[in-house]
Amino acid sequence: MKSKKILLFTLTALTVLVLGVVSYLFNFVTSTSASIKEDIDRNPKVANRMENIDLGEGDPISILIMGLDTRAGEGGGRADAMVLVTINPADKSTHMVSIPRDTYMKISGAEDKINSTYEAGGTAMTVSSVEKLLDVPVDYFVKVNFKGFEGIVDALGGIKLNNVLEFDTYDSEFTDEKMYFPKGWNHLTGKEALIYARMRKQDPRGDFGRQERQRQVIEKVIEKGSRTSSILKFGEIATVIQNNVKTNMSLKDMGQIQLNYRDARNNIKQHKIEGSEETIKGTYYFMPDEDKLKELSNDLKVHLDLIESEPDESNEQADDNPEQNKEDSGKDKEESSEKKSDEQENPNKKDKENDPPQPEEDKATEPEEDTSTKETDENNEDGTTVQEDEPDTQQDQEDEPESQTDQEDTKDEPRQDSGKPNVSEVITKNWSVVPTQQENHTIITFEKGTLDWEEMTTAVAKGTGLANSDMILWWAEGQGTDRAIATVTNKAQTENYRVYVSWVDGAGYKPVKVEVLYENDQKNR
Amino acid sequence: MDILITIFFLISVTFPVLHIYHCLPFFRESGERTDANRELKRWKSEHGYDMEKGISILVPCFNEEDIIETSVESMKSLSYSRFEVFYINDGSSDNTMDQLDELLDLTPSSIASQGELTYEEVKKVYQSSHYPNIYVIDKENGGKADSLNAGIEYATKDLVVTLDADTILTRTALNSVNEAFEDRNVVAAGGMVHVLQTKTDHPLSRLSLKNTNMLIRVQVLDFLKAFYISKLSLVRFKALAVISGAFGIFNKQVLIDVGGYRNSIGEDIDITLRIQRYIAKHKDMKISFIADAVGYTELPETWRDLTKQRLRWQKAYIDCIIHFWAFFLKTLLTKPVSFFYVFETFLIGTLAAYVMTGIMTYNIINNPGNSFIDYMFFYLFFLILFGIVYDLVALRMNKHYGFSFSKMDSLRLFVTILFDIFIYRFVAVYYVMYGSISYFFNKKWNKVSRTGRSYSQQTATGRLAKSRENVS
Repeated sequence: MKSKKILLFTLTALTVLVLGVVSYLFNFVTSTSASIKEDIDRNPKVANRMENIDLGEGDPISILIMGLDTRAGEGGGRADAMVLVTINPADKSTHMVSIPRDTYMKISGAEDKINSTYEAGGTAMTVSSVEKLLDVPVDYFVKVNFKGFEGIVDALGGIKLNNVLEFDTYDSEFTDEKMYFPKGWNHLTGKEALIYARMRKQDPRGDFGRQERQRQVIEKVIEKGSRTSSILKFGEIATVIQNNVKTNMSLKDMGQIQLNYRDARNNIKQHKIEGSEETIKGTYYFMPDEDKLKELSNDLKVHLDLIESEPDESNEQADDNPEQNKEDSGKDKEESSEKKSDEQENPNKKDKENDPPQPEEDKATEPEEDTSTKETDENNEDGTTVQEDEPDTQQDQEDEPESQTDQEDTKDEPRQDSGKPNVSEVITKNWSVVPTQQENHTIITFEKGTLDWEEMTTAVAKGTGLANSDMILWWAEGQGTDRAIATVTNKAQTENYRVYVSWVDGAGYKPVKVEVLYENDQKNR
Repeated sequence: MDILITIFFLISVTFPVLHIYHCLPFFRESGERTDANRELKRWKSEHGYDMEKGISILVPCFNEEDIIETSVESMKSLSYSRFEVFYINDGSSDNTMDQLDELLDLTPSSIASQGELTYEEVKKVYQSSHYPNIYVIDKENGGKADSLNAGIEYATKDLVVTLDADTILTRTALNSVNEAFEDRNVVAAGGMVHVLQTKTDHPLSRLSLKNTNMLIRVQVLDFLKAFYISKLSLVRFKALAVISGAFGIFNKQVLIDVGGYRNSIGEDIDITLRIQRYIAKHKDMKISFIADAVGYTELPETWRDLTKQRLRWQKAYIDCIIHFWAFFLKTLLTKPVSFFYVFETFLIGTLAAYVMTGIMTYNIINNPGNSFIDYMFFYLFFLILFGIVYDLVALRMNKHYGFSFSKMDSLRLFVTILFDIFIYRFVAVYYVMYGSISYFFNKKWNKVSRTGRSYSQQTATGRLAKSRENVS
């Protein structure tokens, strides 16, 4: 009898305990997901894309990781670190692109930098700015503040990475923490990792160096996070991220990504945006190199399965096989890494070459382990000079004229877009030139009836695929002496295009880019 | 706040979980019998092999002219020989007395009282000339407890069965009682009470929902849960606090020893607690539940009557916690009955209803649309799931004790379960909350009207509605 009573109370206690655990977990999960969830208005195209994303099927996705310079509960602030991560589980690869925070971007009412978009227009504006800059959809965003970042790293038990730049923070202004980061392998706590990712002034490569460190840290966090399966760990992270992380992912999304996308972490390809530094009215700006940006954008589109790899305007073969992919990216000064996460991290194994698809140039310095290893190599051996030179000197001069154009371009955009991205699709094909009959072309003539005008509009029509007679030209404007942007529709006004044409010396006009618009934004001009 | 809700939720499911496990046959006490040998029992009783103990049946009647005939008829069909019936007319203002006279052909009796309990004046005691074991005590109005005390005084047998006027015993109920009380330590017991409206021609094996409305059906589930899960489990814990007034069995001497019934709003809870307090000093004595002693009682068929009845029950609970507080306090952790009454009935069954409702209201007003709504859905989901499990266990226990519903009733039961978990339980919470408060402002007995319905069994011919007390 007594044993039966004991059994009875045990059963009851167990049942109530199970109910308790289940309800606690539920509470926990709902309160966590409620506290980290942030939904933003998306442009219709991305919204539509997101509806069709099947995380269970492993559709390629893009995630914008935003490091916020705010404390918990504070509004405003800047998105000081932005890394766009694209994941394609089918080819088991991940691309990471740092978006320089000083990237020039016209914003009304704030400094014209991309990191001010957050202050000016919140997450939605930052996300759409990144979409505009890279011309790829941003499916998900994850905003992390300092505390959340530290907490996540700590919950993961810290991260181990290979530091290529010895520095300390004894005299730093950005933090009161006194830390020293020696060269080589460092095991960083959350606090240390944060400082490591924030330091800029001591890095001879400036923001580029910092971006690299940020991507390195993110990569480590992803790597460690994707290996985490303990529910307790998950609980610890969830506690940390409440109020310190905001995302438009649901917990289910996160679970699915962790489950179905984890293999893609083994092949992380790092990109940086190339460009030049410029000071306008005393403010430092970063002007992206438009051509390189386009290449990068194309890479990302291919990676996201948005486009089949096709030739871009500069006649370069786009990436339809890994080899070429590598080559293209190589031009992008990207650091690519092949890693086997289950192998021991060991910088000394670098001479082992077991990655057949690696292109020759990469192989030379590519260890199979780890980006950081690779970074060490680059810096120590052949990479150092290139990396340090590139943003400042060489690139600067080369890209000067381009950057100017960019600047105008970007400045014009808000007017055309009025904040919301109007572009539904960007077409860049290798259009042929409309042969010219002009002998002395000096400047674009915006006057109906002239030969120049006829030729230009023919090129515009060619870009859209419309017949000349079926096209209404609503607006055209010049960009410098040899480029023009025209906004056109078909006669029925059901199709809207913005066409970029450019004059090729001695040959004629050719379309270089066509943007399919949702609506004719020049109609009321 | 979240933690608070979780804790409340867990506390409120603990006792039901406990009872669900404890009611299972696996946890049967050694002394319990089942109805597995029902045929043998019947044979034994019909062939005089039972040592029949004398049983006095007490039926207090206050304005019961409509149901009294049903009751009298049922007495005639009992397969027991050593029993007597006392109808105690508690100063009815209707024709109850005339009805009894007509049915029984009363003649004055010289039977004498024992003079140990007090009650209102007895005008006269009659005996039936048709059925010499049926008596009628005609007394001044004094309430149900008063009537029962009078009945105890005149009862000549050692065992006393108390019935409501609308309770009908099945043929073998007294045989089962007799058997249960062969254990000398059993001093009181509750019989199984089913719902009269569901009675069929096979009162010991079949129930039917055919001629019932939703309110009756949901009370059928309520009764099955109360008797086959809760009361059964509490009896096994020696913690039963309510022997239903509809069908209770007592050792007469113990009734007298505890001072009889207290004239209160819930005399059946009161007498059970008195006996519990009594046996707290008599180690071997116990209260039992006789699952195979089956009676049927009529339940209210309108919301109005149900409300009256449930409010009265709730008031009775409150009345008893106040009346017995000294006993409860002293034995809170030593006597299961005190523990369960204070924690299950009072703290969780009553106070928690206010707290939970308070929390919910607070959250709905202060945090509309936050994750709190998620919890509510979650807990509602849990409670719904739990409610279904509880209902299903009760139905399964019903089957275990030999009762089944017809195939036709499956759908009705399904709908009833939905009605139970989505509507009735919330109404029940309201009864608990409203009843507890109104106890302090309005101590009236809420009388419940009888249906006056004619029940198919036997020769019942009750008609027309009037009011009277109901089961507890």
